[in-house]
Amino acid sequence: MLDSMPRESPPLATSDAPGVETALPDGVHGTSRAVPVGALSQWQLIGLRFRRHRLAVASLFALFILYALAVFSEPIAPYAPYARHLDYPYAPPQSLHFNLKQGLHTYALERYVDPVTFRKQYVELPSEPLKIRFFAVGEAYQLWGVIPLQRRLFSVEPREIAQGATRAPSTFFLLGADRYGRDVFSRTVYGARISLSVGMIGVLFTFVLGLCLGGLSGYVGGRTDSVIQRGIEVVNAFPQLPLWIALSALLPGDWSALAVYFSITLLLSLLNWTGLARVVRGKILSLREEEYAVAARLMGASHARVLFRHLLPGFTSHIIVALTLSVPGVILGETALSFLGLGLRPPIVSWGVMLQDCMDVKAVRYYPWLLSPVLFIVGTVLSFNFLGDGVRDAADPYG
Amino acid sequence: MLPQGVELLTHRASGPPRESRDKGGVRGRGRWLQIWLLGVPLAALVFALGLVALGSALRPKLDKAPPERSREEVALAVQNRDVSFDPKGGDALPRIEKPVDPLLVYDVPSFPQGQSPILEELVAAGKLPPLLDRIGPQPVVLDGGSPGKYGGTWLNVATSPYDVFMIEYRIGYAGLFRWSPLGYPIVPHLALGVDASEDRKTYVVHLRPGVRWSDGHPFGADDILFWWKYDETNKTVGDGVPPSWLIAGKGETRLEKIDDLTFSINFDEPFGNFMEVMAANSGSMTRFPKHYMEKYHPETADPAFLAQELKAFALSSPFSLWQRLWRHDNPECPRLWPWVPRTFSNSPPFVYVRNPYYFAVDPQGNQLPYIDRMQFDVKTSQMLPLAFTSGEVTMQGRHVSYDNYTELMSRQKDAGYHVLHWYPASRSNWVIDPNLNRLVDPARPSTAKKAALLGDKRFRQALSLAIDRDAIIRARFDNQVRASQVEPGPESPFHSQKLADAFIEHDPGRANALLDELGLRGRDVDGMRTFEDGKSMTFYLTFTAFPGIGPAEFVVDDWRQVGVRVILREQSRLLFQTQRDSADFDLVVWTSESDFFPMLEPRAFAPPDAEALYATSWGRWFARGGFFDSPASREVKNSYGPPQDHPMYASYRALVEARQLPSMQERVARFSEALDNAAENLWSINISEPTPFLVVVDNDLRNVPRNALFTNVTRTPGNAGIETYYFEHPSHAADAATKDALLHPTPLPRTGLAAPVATLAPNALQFAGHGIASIIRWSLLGIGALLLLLISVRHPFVARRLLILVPTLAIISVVVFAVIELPPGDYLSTRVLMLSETGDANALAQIDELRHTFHFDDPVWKRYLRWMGVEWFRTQDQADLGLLQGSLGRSMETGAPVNDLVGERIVLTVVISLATILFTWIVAIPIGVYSAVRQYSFGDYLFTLIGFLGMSVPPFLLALVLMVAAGVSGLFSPEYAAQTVWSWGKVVDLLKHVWIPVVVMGVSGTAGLARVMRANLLDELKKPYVTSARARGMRPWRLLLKYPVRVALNPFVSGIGHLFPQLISGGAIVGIVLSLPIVGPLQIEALVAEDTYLAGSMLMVLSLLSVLGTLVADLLLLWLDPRIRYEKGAA
Repeated sequence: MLDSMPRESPPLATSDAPGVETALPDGVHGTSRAVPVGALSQWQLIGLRFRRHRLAVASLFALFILYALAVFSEPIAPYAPYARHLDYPYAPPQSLHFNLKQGLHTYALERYVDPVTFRKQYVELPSEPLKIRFFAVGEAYQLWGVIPLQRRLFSVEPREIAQGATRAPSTFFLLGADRYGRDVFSRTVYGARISLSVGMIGVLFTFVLGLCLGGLSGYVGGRTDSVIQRGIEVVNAFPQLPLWIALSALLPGDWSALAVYFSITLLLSLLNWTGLARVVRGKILSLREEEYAVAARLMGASHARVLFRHLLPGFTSHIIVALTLSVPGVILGETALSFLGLGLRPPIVSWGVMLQDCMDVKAVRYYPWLLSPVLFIVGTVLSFNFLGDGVRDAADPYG
Repeated sequence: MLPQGVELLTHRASGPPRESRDKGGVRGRGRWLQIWLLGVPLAALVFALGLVALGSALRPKLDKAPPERSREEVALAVQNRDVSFDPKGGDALPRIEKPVDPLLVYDVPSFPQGQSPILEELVAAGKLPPLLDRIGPQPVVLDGGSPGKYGGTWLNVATSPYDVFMIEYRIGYAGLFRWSPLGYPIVPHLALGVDASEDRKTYVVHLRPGVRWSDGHPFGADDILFWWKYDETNKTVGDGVPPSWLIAGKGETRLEKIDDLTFSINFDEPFGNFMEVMAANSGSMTRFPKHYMEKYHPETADPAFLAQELKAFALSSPFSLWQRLWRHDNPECPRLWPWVPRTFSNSPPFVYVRNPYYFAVDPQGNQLPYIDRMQFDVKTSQMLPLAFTSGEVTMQGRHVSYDNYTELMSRQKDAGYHVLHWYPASRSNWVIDPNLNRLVDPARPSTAKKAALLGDKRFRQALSLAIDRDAIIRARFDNQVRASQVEPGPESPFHSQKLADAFIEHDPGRANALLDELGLRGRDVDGMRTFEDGKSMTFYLTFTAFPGIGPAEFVVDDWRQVGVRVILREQSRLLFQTQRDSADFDLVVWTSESDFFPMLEPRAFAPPDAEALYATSWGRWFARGGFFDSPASREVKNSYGPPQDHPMYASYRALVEARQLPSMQERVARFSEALDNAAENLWSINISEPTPFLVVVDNDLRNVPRNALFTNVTRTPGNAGIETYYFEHPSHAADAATKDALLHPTPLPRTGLAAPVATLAPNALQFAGHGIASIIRWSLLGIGALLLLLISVRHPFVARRLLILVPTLAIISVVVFAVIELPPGDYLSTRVLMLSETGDANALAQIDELRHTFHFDDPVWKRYLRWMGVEWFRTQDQADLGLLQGSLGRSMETGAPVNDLVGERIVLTVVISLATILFTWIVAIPIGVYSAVRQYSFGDYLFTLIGFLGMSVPPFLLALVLMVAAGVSGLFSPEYAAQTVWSWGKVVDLLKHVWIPVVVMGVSGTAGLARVMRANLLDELKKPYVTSARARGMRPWRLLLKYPVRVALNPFVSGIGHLFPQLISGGAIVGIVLSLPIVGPLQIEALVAEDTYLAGSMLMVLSLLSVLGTLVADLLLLWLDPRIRYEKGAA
C-alpha cells in the first residue's frame, strides 16, 4: 500500500529529468545505471496521477473559479445584491455584441407590459448600444467590508434610456433580473459566498468530529471502539433530511443571520461525519500494527506523537477524499433547507434562498433565467464529485 | 463482445494507458506552475463564455415588440378589472333572493316541484320523504340568473384540513339574514323578517316555516334559544357572556321564545344597526341542533351516556367533546348547509354532498343546490398557484394571490377557466401596525423609550411620510392601485377621503423634521438615529408567513433613508401569537379586515378586540366591556383602556354612539369623528388600496356574479348565490357515490372502542389506523421471535444485527424526543398561554383537558416513557398506549390520533419507495453492465455524465420542472382522489401521476448504483475464470450474465440498506413540491405548526422504516452471499 511504504526512490531512465539527488539506501551500492536518479515524494506522485485525470483537473479549476467568485464577489459582481431596478422587473439576460467601433457592448432594453396580463416583456434596442467597460470607476464599495475600492471587473456605461415617458438607467444583466429588477448574476455571485462557505465550514466541522471520533475509535479500540461504532450505526439510521428539517424548524426565527448561518452548518455536518470516521478508523486499525508505528511506541513516543506524526500522514489523502466527497451533501442540504424556508432566509442571499423564488410556476414558464443558481449548484456539486473521484484514484490506485 | 475483458487483466482500474513521458519534466512544482498559469485564465475564459452562452440560451426573443393587443381586448380587460360600483344603485344592486308574497305562496311558479334526480330516486325508493315534506311550502327563492342543471362536483383546494372550516363559515352561511353580492340589500334567509320596536330595543324575529335540519328534524326557535342558553351564555361550555355583536351599550341582552317560529331579542339600550349585524353574524346562532346537541351538553345530557361517549372519544372534558361534535367534519351533527358531510375522513380529499333538506328553490321551483358535491383537496400553499393555473378548481377566490396575476391571466384559455375581479371589502392586503400598547419591561430600558415613540403620533406620521409608495405600487401592483391609508373605501357610505390621503406623500424632508422634533437628533456610527440619551435605537418589524414579507424590504430601506433602523424579523405563527398577546413587539405586519363595514368591523379605527394588532390591550379591554367599566375587563392582564383624554377614547365613544343610531346617515355622521381621529393619529401605516380579489372560475360554470364584495363580513362566497351555480355539462360520474353517502353516512371514529356505533358501515380508514398499530406491534414481536430463532440456529451475524436494532431504536427515540422537547414553547404551551390569558371558565377547563391528555405536568423523562408506552405495561389502560404498542399519540392541533392521520400515508410512502427502488434497479443494472463492458466508450462517458448530473440536481427542482412540464401534481386527479373504490381508471390515473416522484427520486440513486455495478463488474471481469471461460468458447452474453453479473449484484442488495432511508428522507421535499400524501409533507406541516408529538412520531416512524429497510437488506444479503452466512464474527 502506498501509504505504508517508505519514501520511494524509483530509478528513472529519463535522462532529461532533473531529478532530486538522494542517497541510495545503505548497503545498496550503485546500481547498473549511471544516469542520475530522481525521487518523487508521495505527494508528487499523487499529483502526477491526478494530472492524468483531465476531468478532475478541469474540476479543480472550475472550483477555483467558483471560490474566486465567492472571495472576490464585490469587484466581480456588477451590482450589489440588494440593488433594485424597479424599471426592469423580470428583465431577461442581455446580449453581448462586439464590433470594432464600439468594442464590447450590449443593447438597451425597452419594457413592454401587457395590458391584459401585466406580463413583462422586453425588446432590445440596437439603436442604443451601451458600452461594457472593464475595471471602470463606479459606485464605491468595500471589499470584504474593509477595503474601500471603486473599480469593478465589468460594468455598463451609465446613461439614461428613454422608457416611454420616463427615463431609466442603463443596465447590463448578464443573467437577467428578478421581480424587483435585482441582477441575478450579482446575486448568484454573492450567494456563492454563502453557499460555498457553508460547504467549507460544514466540512470543517465534519473533519473535526470525524477525525476525533474515528481516531479515538481506531486507536484506543476495545470497548470505546464498539461504543463509537454502534453510535455511528445509530446516526446512520436517522433519516437525514427529516432530521435536518426538524432541527432547523426549531431554530428560533429571531436569531441573527450569522447565528442562523452557523447553526445550519453545524446541523448539516452533524449527520455527515460518520463516513469520515469510518475511513479514519479503518485506516488507523490497519496502520496501528505496522512495524514503524510499533517501533515508535517502543521508543517512547507519546500516543499523540504516534498518531499525528506517524499514522496520520498515511491516510491524509483518504481524509481529503472523504472530505471532498462530503461537500456536495452539505451544499445540497443547505439548498434544500433554504428552499423550504427553514434554513437561511432573506435578506441573506444564498443559492438556496434564490431558489425560493423559483418555487413558482412563473419562474419555470416565463422567466427561466431565475433558475440560473441551479446550474451553479449542479456545477459545484459535479466538480466536487469529479475532484473527489480524481483524488481518490490518484491517491489510492490499487484500492 | 468481450474483448476488453481480456485486456482488463493487465489494465489498471483508472484510465487507459498513457505516455509515461511527461514533457517539461516530471518534477512536480514546475509542472504545476505551468498548469496553473495556463489553466486559470483558460478556466476563467471558459467560465465567462459559459455565462454568456447560458444567458443567450435562457433569453427569449428580444428582437421585436410583442404583438399589440387589440383595443377591444384591452378595453375588456380594463372593464373586468374595474370593481367599482354605485353603492346608491338601489334596485340596480344585484339581489339573489327573490321575495315571495306569503299570501301567494302556493300559487307562485317557485312553489317546490322539482329536485335532483338522485333525490328523486331516493324518494321513489322510500328512503326520503317527498320534496314538499322536506322543505315546506315557503322555501327561500334564489335566482342566480338562469335556470340550472343538476349534477357535478365543485372542486376546491385548501391549505390544510383545518382550512376546510370555511364550509360552515362561508359556504354554509346559514344565517337568519344574508347579504347580497354587493352587500345591500340585506335579504331574508332562515328568517322571514324582523319587527323592530320604536325605541329600537326590541326586535321580534320571524323564522321561516317548514325548514328542517339535514336529518329531517324541524328547525325552530328552540334551536336558537338552545344556542343562547346552552352555548353562548353558558358558563360550562361558553364564556358566560353574550357575543360582542349582540350587546348594545352597557346593558343586558335577552332572548325569549315567543312561539315555535318566533323569538325576540331585547336590549337595554337602543341597537342601531341590527340588520347588518344579523346579516354578518347570525350564522353562528343557528349552529346547534337542539335535538342532537342536548344529548351531549353537561347540563342536559344523561350522565351515563355522556361518560360513555367521553370514553369512546378518549376525551376527559365535556367541553372538548362539545367542540369536537359541532366541528365541520362531523357527519353525525345535523346542519342547515347546502352541502353536508356524510363520510368522515382524516385525510384529503374531503367530500360534502347535497343536503336533501336544503330549504331553497330556484324561481321554477327546483330544489337547490344544483351541484351535487363539493370536494376539498389539500395542497401546500406554494403549490396552490399551480393548482389554480391548471384549472383544478371549479370556483375559488380563497388563497388566490395577486402575485400570480400574470400566470392566472395568461393561462385562462389553455386551462379552461376565467378570472373574475371582485371588490375587496377589506381595504388593505398588507398593513403595518405600530404597537401603541407596547409592553414596557423594566429590565429592558429600550422598551420604555420605544413605547414612548410608538405612542407619539408624530413618530408614526414620520414613518408614514418616509415611505415611497409609488415605487412599491409600481413594483408590486403594476400601478393598478392608488396609495391610501386604511379607510372604508370609495364605495362605502363611510368613505373618508381625508383618511385615505393622510400622510401618504413621499416627503422625507418632513419626516426628518418630525423625527428631529421628537428629539432623535443624534446619530450613531452607522448614521442611524439614536434615542435622546444617545443609545442606539433599533426597532423590529415582525411578520409571519401570513400575509408574508410583502414590500417590507422597500419600507425598511425607506426608513433607513430617514435614519430609523428597523430590522425585519420573521416568526413562526405560534410564537407570533404569543408575543402578540403579551404586546411585546414593536411593529408588526398584518392585514385589515372588512373596513368597508366599520360598524361591524371597526378594527382599523377603534380596536374592538385583540385582533387589532396596533392596540391589543385596548382591544381586549373593549371586548370585555371595558368602555362600560365592566368587571370582566379587569380580570385579565394586558387589558386596559386608553386615557379618557386620548383621541382613541373619543373614537370609541363615537363607535358606541353610532351603533345606537337608527339610520345609516346618522351613523355615518357620528362615526366620522373616529375616521378623522384615525387620519390625524395614524393608528396604522398602510401602503395602498387593496388589489381586486381574484376568483378563478371554470368555464363550464354558470351563474357566477361578475362582481361581488369579498370579505369575511359578507361571508363571501356565501353571499354570491353559490347554491345557484351549475355546470353547463354536469358530470354524473359520482352520482352513485353521492347516493351511497346519503344512504350510508359514516360516523366519527370512536377510537375508545367502547361505544357502540350508532350508524352503519365501518370506515376503511379506521382499519388503516388500527392496521398500522397492529403492524407495529406485530413487527416488534416478530423481531423478537426471529431473534430467538436465529440465535438458536447459530447465525451470529444476523443475531447481532437484530440485537443492535433494539438499542438503535431506543437511542433514536431518545434523540427524537429530546429534539422535540428541546425548543421552548410548542403548540401546546402556546395554546395554554393563550387560553390562560382569556381567563374564561371553560378555557381553564380546556387547559385542564390539554394538560391531562398531554401530561403536561410530568417531568421530561416520565413524558418520554409515556410516549414510548411503558406505562401501558403497568396500567393496561387505553389512555396509556404508546409507541411500543403502536400508538403514535395525538396531534395537538386537531386532537386526532396520529395513527389515523398517518396510516394511509405510510402505506403510500412505502409503495412509492419500493417502486423507486424497482425503477432504480431496472435502469441502473443494464447501464452498469453496459458501462463495464464498453469501458471508456462514448456510451460509458455519457452515462457517467448523466449519472453525475442526476446526483447533482436538487431533486425538488427536478420535481418542479417535471411537474410543470407534465402539468400534473399530486398522486391522483381530483375525480379519482375521492373515489375510494379501486377501478381500472384509478390505477391508470395513479400511474399517470406516480411516475414523476419515482423518476425524480430514482435518478440520483440510479447514478450511484450504476457506478457501483460498473466498478464491481470491472473487478469481476478481471478475474481469471472469465478469461478461461472465454477461451473455452463460452458465448459472451451467457458468460456475462451467468457469473460476473450475479456476483456483482451482491453489493447491490446491501445498497438497498442505504437506498431505502435515502428515499424515505429525500421523498419529504419531493412530496411537498408534488403535494403527495406521504409522510414527509405531514411531518413538515407538523413542524411548522409546532405540533411536537405529531412531528416526533413522524420522525420515529421514518427512522423505523429506515432501520427496517436496512435490516431487510442485511437479511437479503445474508441469503444471497454464503460467505457471510458461514463467516463467524463478520464486519
